[in-house]
Amino acid sequence: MTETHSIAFSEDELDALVSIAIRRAEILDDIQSPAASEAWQEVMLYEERLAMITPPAEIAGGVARVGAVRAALAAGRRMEAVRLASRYLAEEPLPPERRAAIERAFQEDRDRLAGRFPALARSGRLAELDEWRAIASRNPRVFPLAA
Amino acid sequence: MTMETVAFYSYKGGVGRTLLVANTAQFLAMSGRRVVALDLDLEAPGLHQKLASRDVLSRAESGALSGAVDELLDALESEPRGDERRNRSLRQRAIEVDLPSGTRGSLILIPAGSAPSHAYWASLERLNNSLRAHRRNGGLAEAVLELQSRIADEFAPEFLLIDSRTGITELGGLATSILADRVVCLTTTAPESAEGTRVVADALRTAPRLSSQRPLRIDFLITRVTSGAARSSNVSRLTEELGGAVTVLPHDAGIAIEKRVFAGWRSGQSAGSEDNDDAGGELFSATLGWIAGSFPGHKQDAEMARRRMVAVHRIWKDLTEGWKRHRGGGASSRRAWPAEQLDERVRFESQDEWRRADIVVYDAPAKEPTAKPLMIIEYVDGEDRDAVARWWLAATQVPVVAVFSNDSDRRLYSRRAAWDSRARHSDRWDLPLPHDFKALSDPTDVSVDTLLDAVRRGHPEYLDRIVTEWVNCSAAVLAGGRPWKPKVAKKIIDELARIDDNEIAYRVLWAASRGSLDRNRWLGDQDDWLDEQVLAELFAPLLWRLPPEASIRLMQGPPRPFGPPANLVAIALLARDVLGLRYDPDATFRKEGQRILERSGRDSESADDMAIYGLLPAFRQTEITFEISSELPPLANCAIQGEEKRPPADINSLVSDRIAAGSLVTTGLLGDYQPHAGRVVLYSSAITQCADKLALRARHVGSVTLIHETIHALAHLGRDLDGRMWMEFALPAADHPLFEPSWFHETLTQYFTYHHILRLRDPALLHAFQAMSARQAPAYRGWERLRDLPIEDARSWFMSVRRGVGAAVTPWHLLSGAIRNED
Repeated sequence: MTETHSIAFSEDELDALVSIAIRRAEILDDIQSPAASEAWQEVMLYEERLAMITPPAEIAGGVARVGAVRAALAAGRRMEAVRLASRYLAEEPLPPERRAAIERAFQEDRDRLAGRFPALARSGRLAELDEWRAIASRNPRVFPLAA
Repeated sequence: MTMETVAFYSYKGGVGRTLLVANTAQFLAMSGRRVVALDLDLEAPGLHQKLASRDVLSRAESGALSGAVDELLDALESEPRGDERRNRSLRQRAIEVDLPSGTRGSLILIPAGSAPSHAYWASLERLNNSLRAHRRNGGLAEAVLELQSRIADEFAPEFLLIDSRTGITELGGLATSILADRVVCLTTTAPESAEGTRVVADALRTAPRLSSQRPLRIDFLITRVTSGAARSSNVSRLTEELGGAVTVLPHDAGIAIEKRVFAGWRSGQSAGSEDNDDAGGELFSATLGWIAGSFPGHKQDAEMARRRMVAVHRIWKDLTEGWKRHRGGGASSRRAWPAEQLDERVRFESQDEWRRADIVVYDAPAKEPTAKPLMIIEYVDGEDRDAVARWWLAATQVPVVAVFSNDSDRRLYSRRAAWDSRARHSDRWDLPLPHDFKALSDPTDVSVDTLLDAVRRGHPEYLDRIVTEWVNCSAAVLAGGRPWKPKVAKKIIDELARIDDNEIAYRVLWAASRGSLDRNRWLGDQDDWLDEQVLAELFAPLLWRLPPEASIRLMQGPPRPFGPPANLVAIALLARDVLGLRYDPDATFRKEGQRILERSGRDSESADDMAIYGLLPAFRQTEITFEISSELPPLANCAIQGEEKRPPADINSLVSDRIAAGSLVTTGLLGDYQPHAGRVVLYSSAITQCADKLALRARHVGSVTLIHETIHALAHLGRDLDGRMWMEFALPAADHPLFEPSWFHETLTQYFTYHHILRLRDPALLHAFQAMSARQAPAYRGWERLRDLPIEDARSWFMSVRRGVGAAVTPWHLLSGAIRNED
């Protein structure tokens, strides 16, 4: 998604942008604005860009990776979240605490969803849905693409 | 038992997907399975239109129906804790679809919502907004999986059937992938439909599955395949491209426009093509076959469900499909039930018992609150049908109950039977139609007396049935066959002949004429001999016995291209059976025409063809025509000429005077045969006056006159068995000033008229003939001396006179009295 961007940002610039974007998304969340989802998607984009220019072993890199996944989940972009998580978790240098943070983000999302979709949670298929998304995200021919 | 989820998908619309979902759901439920049908075609929902009762449809129209859209909204918008929407049972939104009495299965419908009301569109828009704006709360995938899980938890069905969205949509994709254990893909052979289906099917085959899911099974149905195209290269190629299990369903033009399940399976009558009948039946069978084969279960239950659906389908068709237009009976004479007056699967309760009718026929559109049931129809399997009928009659006060166990085993009960504790069924087998409830006090009573009475009261729609009854009573053959009831047959003819109303009498003649289409319905594909028998033994006698206005109106009808018209056959029978002549103007034309052409020496076949049609006008007069005239008869005109233009005595005086003087004549006064035109004329004013003076009925005087003048015409135009004609053997023209009745012609004609009336066995006609004869001129009374002369002798004499050698063989001694009187 970010590979096609032609403008190069510095880490400082992206840090500034992401800070503003997070603040905006939190405010929109707080007032239950319909725009909150898109705001979190914007955060996800900045965090993903940051993750691209920062090594996973460094603090900034680890935070950006966890932030990107959390922002994707907050935006409700679960397929994106799964795609990003599988990429970051495949990076050897990513510290264990960051890996745990990513797993925790998914668990928190599942817990939130389980409260909202209790029958689905009881059926055990909520967790299966993440697996399904992980496979589906690697297969562009899957119908439906939007899911 | 685990739930199997089957998604019905089509890339394009209009392939019969929703109807197939509805029919499959019904079949499985009737086979004893627990089924939930879910409408996820949220943008164009319609499953409730196929499955729900009229009450539910009314709720949908008013926006009071909730369904899948509301359920998804509740899941996405409500707070996980403390929100009462979270605790609402799905049952509050589910509709239990009415199934026949005794069905062990169940069918729950979860509609999309109140479609197509504005309230529904508002809910749908809210759902779309919610999915866009609050994705963190969960997306469509979670929401539909939650719905599926709740369905499994609350209803524990064996089958969840999903009507999914067409095209490429997120909801369609979810329904066919993470929700479905099986996908039924419907497509037509149209390239846009077939190609889209193929691509989607390929994607589904490679799509990942949830770890708890079974491998996806995909069935393909190629629908709307027109007759004869099932084996076409298009279908074969598509079958190959799709791969897997492919079934071909035939086309039914009516399917797309019908609203209800049973109606959807009946033939496409409303599409305006009679040819749809077979296609409708074929589609019905093929669809049932596919469902039974695709969802194997308990064979006996499935077979019972299939039998029941087939039987109800046929009953629906019987009730709603109009019969072919009844000749002479008017377009509405056999009007079927309007579909809106029918409803299916209606529950009735009485105290602590209830039953569900398969079909209810109402006296008004069923959705009107004031509509009252006229007829309850239920398919009963394994119960005492008399007891079932007794329950219906007692519980509903409905006039008619029909109980059947298969298509060929129907029983009709009426309110009359309700007073009989044994509730015997009627002899009627076919289901009553709208006119039965208007014309018959008991619509199940179709005895001959009841039907004849209805016809006399102005309901000619029963004529075909009566004619059929006559055939059944009289069509005995040496080899056996139908039970012979000659007394009933004679009663039918006599009662029909008593009909005075000219319009009904005309319809009687139509019903008894050749190839009446509705009669074919009763008798099936009949043999020609039956037609011949009806013509000779029913139509022909009635033609002479019914009011002459009706008979002549029929004889004035337009020529028909196939075969001789019935009236020509009746006249030919009179010529053959009474006069010993042949009368066939077409054959005469061909034979004489051929002789003329041979004499002309033409050698070109095409020239013959042209020439023979050039002869047509010359032969037209050999075809007898008939009319009733309100003009003065020729004898009245003669009086004008003979009395030097003085005004004649009026027709009343003329007839009265002649009756008083015993010089009444038929030819020239009551009727006439005009040899130069081949025309038989009846003079209505003279006939009326004659009847009045003789205390007879005008219709009988008219019939006697019609027979008399027709015999004159046949004596002139008929051919003997050697094929000879004597065109000069004609009556003197009655309009000549010096006209006198020909004693020879009139004596013979009266003799043959008398014998023809004897053969008709009509006492009223015989009485009229004798009463007229008693006041007639001597030339008209000579027949009395021939009364006992064998008809063969009379014919021989008649032939001799036609040949000009009559004097040598004439039984003068029998005629001497008449001649003396004339002298």
